Amino acid sequence: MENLTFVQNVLIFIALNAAALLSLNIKKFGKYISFGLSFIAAVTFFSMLYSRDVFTLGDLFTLDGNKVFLLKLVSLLNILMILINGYSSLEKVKSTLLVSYMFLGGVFLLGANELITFYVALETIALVGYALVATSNQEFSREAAVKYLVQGSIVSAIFLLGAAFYLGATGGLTLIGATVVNQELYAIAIGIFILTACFKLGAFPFHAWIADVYSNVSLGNLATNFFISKIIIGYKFITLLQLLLLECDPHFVNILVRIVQVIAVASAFYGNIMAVVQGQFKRIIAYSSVAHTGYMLMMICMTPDESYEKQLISYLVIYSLTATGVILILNQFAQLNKNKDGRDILTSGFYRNKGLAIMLSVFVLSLGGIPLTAGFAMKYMLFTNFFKEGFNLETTSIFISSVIGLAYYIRFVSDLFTENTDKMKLPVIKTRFSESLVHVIILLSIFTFGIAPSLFLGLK
Amino acid sequence: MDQLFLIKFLIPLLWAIGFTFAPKQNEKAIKLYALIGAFVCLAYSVKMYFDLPNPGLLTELFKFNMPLFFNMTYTFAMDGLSALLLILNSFLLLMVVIATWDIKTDKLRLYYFLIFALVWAVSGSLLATSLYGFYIFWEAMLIPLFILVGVFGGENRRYASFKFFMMTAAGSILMLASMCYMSAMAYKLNGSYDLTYDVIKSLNLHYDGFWSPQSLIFWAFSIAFFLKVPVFPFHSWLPDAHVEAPTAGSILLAGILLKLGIYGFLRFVIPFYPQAVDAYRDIVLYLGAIGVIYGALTAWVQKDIKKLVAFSSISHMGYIVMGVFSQNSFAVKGAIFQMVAHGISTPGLFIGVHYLYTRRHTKKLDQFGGIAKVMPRFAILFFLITAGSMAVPMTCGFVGEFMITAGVYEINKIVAILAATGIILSPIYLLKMYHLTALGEITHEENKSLKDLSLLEATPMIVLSVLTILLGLYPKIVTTMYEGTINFFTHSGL
Repeated sequence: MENLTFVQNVLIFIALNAAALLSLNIKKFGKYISFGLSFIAAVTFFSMLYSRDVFTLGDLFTLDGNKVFLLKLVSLLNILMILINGYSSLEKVKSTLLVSYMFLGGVFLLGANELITFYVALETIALVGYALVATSNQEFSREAAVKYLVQGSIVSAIFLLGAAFYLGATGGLTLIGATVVNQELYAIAIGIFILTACFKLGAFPFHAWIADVYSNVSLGNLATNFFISKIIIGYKFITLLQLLLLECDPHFVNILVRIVQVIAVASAFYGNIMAVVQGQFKRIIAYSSVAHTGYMLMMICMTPDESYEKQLISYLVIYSLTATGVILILNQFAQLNKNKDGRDILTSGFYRNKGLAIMLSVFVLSLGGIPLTAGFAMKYMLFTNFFKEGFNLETTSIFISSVIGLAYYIRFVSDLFTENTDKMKLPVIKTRFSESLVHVIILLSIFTFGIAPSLFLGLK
Repeated sequence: MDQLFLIKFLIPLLWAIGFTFAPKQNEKAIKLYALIGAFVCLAYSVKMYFDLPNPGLLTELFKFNMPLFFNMTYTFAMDGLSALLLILNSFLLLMVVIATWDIKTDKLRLYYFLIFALVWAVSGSLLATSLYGFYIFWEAMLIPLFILVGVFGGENRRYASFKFFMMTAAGSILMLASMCYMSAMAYKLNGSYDLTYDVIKSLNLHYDGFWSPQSLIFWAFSIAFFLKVPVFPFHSWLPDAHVEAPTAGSILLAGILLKLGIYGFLRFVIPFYPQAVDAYRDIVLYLGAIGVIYGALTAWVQKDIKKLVAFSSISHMGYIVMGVFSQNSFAVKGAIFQMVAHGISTPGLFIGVHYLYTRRHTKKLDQFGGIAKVMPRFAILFFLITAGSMAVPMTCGFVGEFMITAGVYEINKIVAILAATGIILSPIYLLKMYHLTALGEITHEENKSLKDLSLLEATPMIVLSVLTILLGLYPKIVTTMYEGTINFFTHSGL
């Protein structure tokens, strides 16, 4: 009965979104109906998550504990994004629909217990990702989508190869409780999974797609990418790899952990350095996400632990939420500057909308790790744990790289407060209620988490 | 524990928030509100000192546990040293408000908001005795000053504010890395991430060469504080920041913010890393001595008055660093005194430069000359403050520099001799500055019609001049405040 309810809900979610897709053909009210149906689907799914603590589908799929908690958060963010996208244009409603399917892929990825479900869910997210880029109406959107598709397909093929090695090493595709009979094959499989994680999360040197994709996707779609693909893929890969490494021979573990650490440190430096020299905001965000992926990857090297898992969730959610906030406000500034993405769009921003400018400043300072913000609490917690695990050199290196990161974050603030009479003549930026609501929610989250992180982490 | 501490402590911040509600058009009301706020801050700082039962000991004022922030404890405590700097902080706020009374800007509320927020953050740093609390306020200082310089500064304000922020933030990151490391150690030891005084002491980090934890943490903290002081070769942000900062920024920067680097050494480095302090003492002493000479020689060749005063700060701060690291109680006492002396004379010089700039709209030395003939009041007051800065006997500057040099001589004679050259060099560049501005004939037509200081304008310079002489004649007013704390800052008992 329990399983049936979950299946029913998933089917209802799919049906409502399919109906939303079809209703786009209705001439006058199509987009309104479509928006309404997607919204109802998202709310229904969100309320289903509160009905019980565990959701299962045979051996294929289990959602429990932290995964349900994470899904509740992502589901809530999904609803917020639907509200932000609104029904003002057909493109936005279409994006909302695509995001709904990406969300569904995320649900299955999160609960996947064996490699085929994992693969299918991962590909669902990726396919929707390609579509989101391709339909972004930017000058080079299609080119970026093709690049992303080609590179993504190669990595998918490599992932399947890893699955084959895994099958050879364990005699099955289940991810939980597998018995390793061939350590060499098992280590190769984990190595390939690490490579896939690096590509999907955009770590150096597997980041080639990220700058092109980010700079050719609309800002709304970019925000979506953060809260679904980054959070869920990041969480799943990191926790999975932590578990898989437990079964691996210590000799191979040492090699694999060393590789991950090198990639993590290199990503942190490369991402931060490249972000400093960018002139477009989307590219700054792209490279800053490469740097943050570096911080994230370090967590693969840690011993699995309940509190670490909560910290990982918090890190992913807070980082994605803050980055989403930055992107949404940048979007508002870009709209007043004919959708340009140059650095000058923020000049004199403070004198055109004080609230937005202050919020954007807080968001970027949080990403930079200034005290009392969530970014600082996360940084403090993560890096203290890295030291606790004995990664002294790697952690110090990442710390040093984060100084470079501060350089481009503070440039945002500097631009906002710089006076430019031409820019100040531009009209005042107006904010819709739904946008303001989201900004305030993000702001409150940043400060609440910054001041009381243990509330979410259960740490003492 | 002081039950009303939190209210007293939050006064500058609450006052700052009050500016956002002030009527935009009524400039006089805003300025008056700022003036009252500055008086209130000064009054509560003085009262807090007199309420201290024993200035020689750290008295806990407020303590609260943050179960929701990794179960950390925030402790606010005060001794004679923090009281002295707290009073200096509030006193400089008052000087800023009076000296920049004539400020003309359409962003007056933002201007005062930033100044009061900055002063509040400084107060927090001075009173926090848990490392985490100290770090929060240390970082909080950066934002208002960054915006103050970036919005109200000169032509190259963006560059200067960016450079200042990045360099000091780089130091802060090193401090944060050390804190994370110590937190991890503390967790292994006590099962808590807390970094209070007692916890840091109990960590007992071992020292056996450069790569040992105590040594690395010592350098991480030291670089953060060197950047703030700033000590040669970490000083490059200071001249730019001073030249581009508005007068309020320059006064607070030179008067109190630079001292926080020294305060950080006294509070969080010297008591906890004794072997590292001993091992690297000579390196720091030489850096201080180089700073004294480098700052003085560079000040000598400056053509911009503000830049000259900025480089003189590097020279004077070099003395203070030497005094603190000599670990000789006489020199440490002198160093703390010199912090106050510098906090009086350099803001005084910046106020003088501000008055010259508001009249002539230039800070170039060759644009002045003979000012004493048209601005006698200014010339007398500016001379007294300059005398204090060049350490003329019977002024406050002399007392501090003499004590430091004498104390350092006992520890390292070469460093003391090198530093003594600074005593010769400072009159050269400061007298050159005074000569080129105030003395001689008036060579520029525009200078003939300059107005002398009004009573309001003269007030801060009079107060600072009086203090320069008073502390030079009777330094005990200040030294009694922190005398009892000296043992705490001289671990080796020299």
